[in-house]
Amino acid sequence: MKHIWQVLRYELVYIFTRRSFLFVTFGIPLVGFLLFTAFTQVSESSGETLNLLVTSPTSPLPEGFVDPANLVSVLPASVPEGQLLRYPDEASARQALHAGEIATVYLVPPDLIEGGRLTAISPEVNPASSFGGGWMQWTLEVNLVGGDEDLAARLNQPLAVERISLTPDAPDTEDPLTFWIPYGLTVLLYLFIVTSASLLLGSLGREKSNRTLEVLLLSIPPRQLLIGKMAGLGLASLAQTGMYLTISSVLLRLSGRTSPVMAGFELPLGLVGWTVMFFVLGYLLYGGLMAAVGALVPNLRDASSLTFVILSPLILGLVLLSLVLDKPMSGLAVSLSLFPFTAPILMVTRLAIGGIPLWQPVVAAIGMLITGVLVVLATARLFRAQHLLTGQPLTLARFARTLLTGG
Amino acid sequence: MATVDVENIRKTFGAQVAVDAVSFEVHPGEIFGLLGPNGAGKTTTIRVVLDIFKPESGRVAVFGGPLTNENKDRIGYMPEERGLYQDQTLERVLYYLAEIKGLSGSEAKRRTQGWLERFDLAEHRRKKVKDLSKGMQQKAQLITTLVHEPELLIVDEPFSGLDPVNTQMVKNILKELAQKGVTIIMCTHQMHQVEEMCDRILLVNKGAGVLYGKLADIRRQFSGHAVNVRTGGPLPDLPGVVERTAQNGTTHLALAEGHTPQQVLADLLKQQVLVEQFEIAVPSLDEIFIEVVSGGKDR
Repeated sequence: MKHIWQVLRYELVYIFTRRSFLFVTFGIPLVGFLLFTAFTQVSESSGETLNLLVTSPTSPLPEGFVDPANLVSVLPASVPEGQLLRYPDEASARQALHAGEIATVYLVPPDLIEGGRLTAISPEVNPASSFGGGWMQWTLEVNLVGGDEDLAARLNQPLAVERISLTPDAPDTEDPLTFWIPYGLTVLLYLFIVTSASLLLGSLGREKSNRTLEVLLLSIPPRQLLIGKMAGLGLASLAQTGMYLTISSVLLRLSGRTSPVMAGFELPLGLVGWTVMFFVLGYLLYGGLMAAVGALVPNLRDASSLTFVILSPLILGLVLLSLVLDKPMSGLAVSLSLFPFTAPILMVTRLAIGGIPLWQPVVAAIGMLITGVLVVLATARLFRAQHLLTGQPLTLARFARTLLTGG
Repeated sequence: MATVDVENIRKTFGAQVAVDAVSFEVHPGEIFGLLGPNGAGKTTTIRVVLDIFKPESGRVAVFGGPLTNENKDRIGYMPEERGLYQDQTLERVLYYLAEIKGLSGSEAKRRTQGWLERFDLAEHRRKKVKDLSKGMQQKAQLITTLVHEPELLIVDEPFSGLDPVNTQMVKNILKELAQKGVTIIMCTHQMHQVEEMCDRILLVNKGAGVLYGKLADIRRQFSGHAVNVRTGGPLPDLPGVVERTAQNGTTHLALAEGHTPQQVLADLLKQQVLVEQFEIAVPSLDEIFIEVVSGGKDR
């Protein structure tokens, strides 16, 4: 135990005194804050100018239409006067267009109902822009239902569904946080599991290359060395995450620029607890695997391809995140959030959305714990000098064989 | 009781045999030379002794039995390739490596400071290891090896990168420790250092022990067929001499098979030659090393 504590303490001191770590922890939130502040200042002070720069000026010109079949029998009262002008024929409409009196001419064909085609003529041609509709579309919709504006409006938006769930903590689908909190937590978990596991790999790689490992192994039993390193670097990552969130929150509060959506919002304590637990379990699993790579790989350069393969379940989870966010109770979402290698991020996603039965995170956590402990025990077997100090090239097949057999 | 007792160890890596049938003993207060060309199996032998590698067969006893975790703190080991964290300050690295050897924080600091002073590194203690010269790093590595006052010291190329002054200081320290009863195993390619420092040696070649014993005995085994002679006048032709070579005022005489140095001396005296120096030519350890390694001669 003494050696575990010594290794843990050294790793923490080593990480916390590294310039790169300090920059990532304090510098990135600060730089992000400064950029955010600068951007919002510019937006506020010259928002109009920016708008003019990035959008076309609102056209003051009305639009015209030609309707030889007289499909438009009535102009809806909601259309402002003078904004939509009827022309008797295409020639006079084009003349008005060329004279700059109107912005667009719509040619309403007699077979509009059968064909659904409408011709729009305007001086500017932008193939990328789509027909915006506007007053012309609204006028056609109203006339197609016999001039009843209310009916046309109802057809445009037939339902306003109010969802009532019998589950006590079901998500509020109207609340934008219902999307952003799970999304943010998932990405955060992914980043920090990958970062902390990579820190572990880097630490082992350095000690192998500078031969410190040989000196350490004479004094520290391999398993204690592995546990000390994992604990130290895991705590460092956890602390970094905490510092990130705290610094970002403090800076935003100081600037008074918190989003109105976030005002008064606090993460539920239960969710924070689950998140920390899944971070720890995810780190146990992926950190253990990365440590195994570090133990077997002759140098860090050779580790990159294998690292990608090992992290691919997490990457898959990230790729499928939108599906899980969209349908958190689907069979795919439930399966992936119970599978130990994708559970670290996707179960937290579903927990943040809310409304999932308690047994699911419990089963996922137990599965991850068992898998993680097995991985760490298998990796500890590899933490013998036999593997650490030899320089055989590492392939995926050798990695899997050695991890499973220890030989 | 021998501090280190290695008996017939064998260690392989896949199909490659790194060490085979190597045996030796090292006793308290002895400076023992472990020699061999690059890739001969010296480092593997040391790693087996230190229980870093497990041998496939054979037996290793350190301090009278298998090496326990507690006994590991009684060993100081300096690998040839320096095991120091490069981007940390010297004192932080030294404190850490001293503490994992069982010293308390305050004791680690106290002893490290003493060694830093002795090795003239005190003013560099806050520098990063990578900013130190090769010689300074070598001295720092020696500090990590000595700081916990080990009873068994294993040093691989201890004089690498050191200038003559520091080389002499390290030699004095090693001799001083040996006098206090510390067992020292020294691996080096610098044969003159071995000749000066070591009582006994083991020469390993291609994974096998090819020369083992007292240095003086080994040198005697390789002597006997030549003499070095310096005379007051010209050296006459002598029977039984197959080759003569001038060497710094003396003449090296290679003798025919069956012809003894005593016969040469008797012939010189018989011819009333003024003999100023006559000695049996004992080969240097360098010559023995080259002869054994390149010729495969085992003794």
